[in-house]
Amino acid sequence: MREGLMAKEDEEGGGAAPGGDVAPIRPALRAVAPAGDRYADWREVYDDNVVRIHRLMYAKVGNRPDAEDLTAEVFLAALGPLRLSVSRGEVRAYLLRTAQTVLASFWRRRLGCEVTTIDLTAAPPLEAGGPAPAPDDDGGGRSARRARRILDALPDRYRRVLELRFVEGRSVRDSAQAMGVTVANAKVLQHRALRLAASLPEEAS
Amino acid sequence: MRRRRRAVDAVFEDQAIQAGRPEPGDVDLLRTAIELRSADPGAGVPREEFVDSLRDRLAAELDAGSSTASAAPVEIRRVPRRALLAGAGAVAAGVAGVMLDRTLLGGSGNGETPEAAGPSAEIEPIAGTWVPVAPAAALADGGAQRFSTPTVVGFVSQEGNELRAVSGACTHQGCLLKLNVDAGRLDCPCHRTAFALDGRTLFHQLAAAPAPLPHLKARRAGDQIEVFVPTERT
Repeated sequence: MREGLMAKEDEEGGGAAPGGDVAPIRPALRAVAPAGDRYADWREVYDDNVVRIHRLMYAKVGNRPDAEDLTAEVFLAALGPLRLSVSRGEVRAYLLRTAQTVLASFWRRRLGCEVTTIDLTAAPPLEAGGPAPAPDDDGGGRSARRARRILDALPDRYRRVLELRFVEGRSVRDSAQAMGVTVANAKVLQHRALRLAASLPEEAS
Repeated sequence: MRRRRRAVDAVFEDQAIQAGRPEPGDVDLLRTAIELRSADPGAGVPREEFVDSLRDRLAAELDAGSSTASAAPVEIRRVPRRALLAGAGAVAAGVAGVMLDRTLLGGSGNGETPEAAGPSAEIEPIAGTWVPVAPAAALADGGAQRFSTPTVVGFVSQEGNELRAVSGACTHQGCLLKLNVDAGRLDCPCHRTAFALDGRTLFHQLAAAPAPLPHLKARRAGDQIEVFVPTERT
């Protein structure tokens, strides 16, 4: 399996990925990258990518326990067969493709449908040897701005309860106190707010 | 019906999603909840313990397979968190809500870092405006309230009769701070760093102490608390 990088792409490139919209594998991948553009060992691959992969998974599943499990799954699946003679950019692209497959499989197992996907076509350019790109498939900043737009489109109380819960990470009890309502009311409010947020037209989100 | 609630509640409570079969409409709710989690750019930063333990686990699997002849203990290289998070902080700071950048901090725009700006720099925007951020009644003595405007995320608090407003972005890497109500301080979710409500650095585990949080001007205007914030960048 030392040729795992290529083998894995061939196996998983179209089949398991959602919608079959995986970016085509470029033949240039097979070229050996100059030494300065390569990772020295798996630890370097891990240290350079673990935050990005975790943030990506967190943005896709919305909770820490699952994000951690999926991050572990990506590295356990990817690093074993990984060949390090290719460029850093290609290694990152390979990790993203692995993440895409791992996430698709997670949703199928858990809920039987893909609630979120990793869109590789929206991925930032993976310049070889350049600084690590944003730790999200579409850039964490863009996700945050999109979430902000959703919140800003909501009436005050709905926005406030979702800000307290999601942005400030406060408990429902804490949020109820901050808003001067009962815990039961806060629970109702947060679900109504979420329902309204989910029904907003696409341009708001 | 019940299962769908659980999947959405898991995201509300930051817990693992349980297996089940949701209704089609529930998927939209769950997707929106997940999307809203991204409103806090610091939320997806991994726990230090997780990063270390996964590295250990990988070392056990990968190094054992490649060097069976060697009985030497596996060397686990500890990478400073700062290096790991170099990308993450940049993203957090790049969010529209955290635009307390150098040009606003020093007014010079010459690349001066916040650390070099001295203790408790004041944000004096070149172009700013007073915006209401909270009803005055919402702020009890000693209490604090988070606010966000299109250009600034911060916290306004009151001690005695004095109003204080500070930036809500950690001066280390720009992660958004969390209000720790019980301890009356602002915690950074990215590193073990905390600030007082007046912006002082309380504790940290970094090589160098992060600068105090920049202050913003705050005032009462009628029944509102207003903060002087930079106008939106064009």
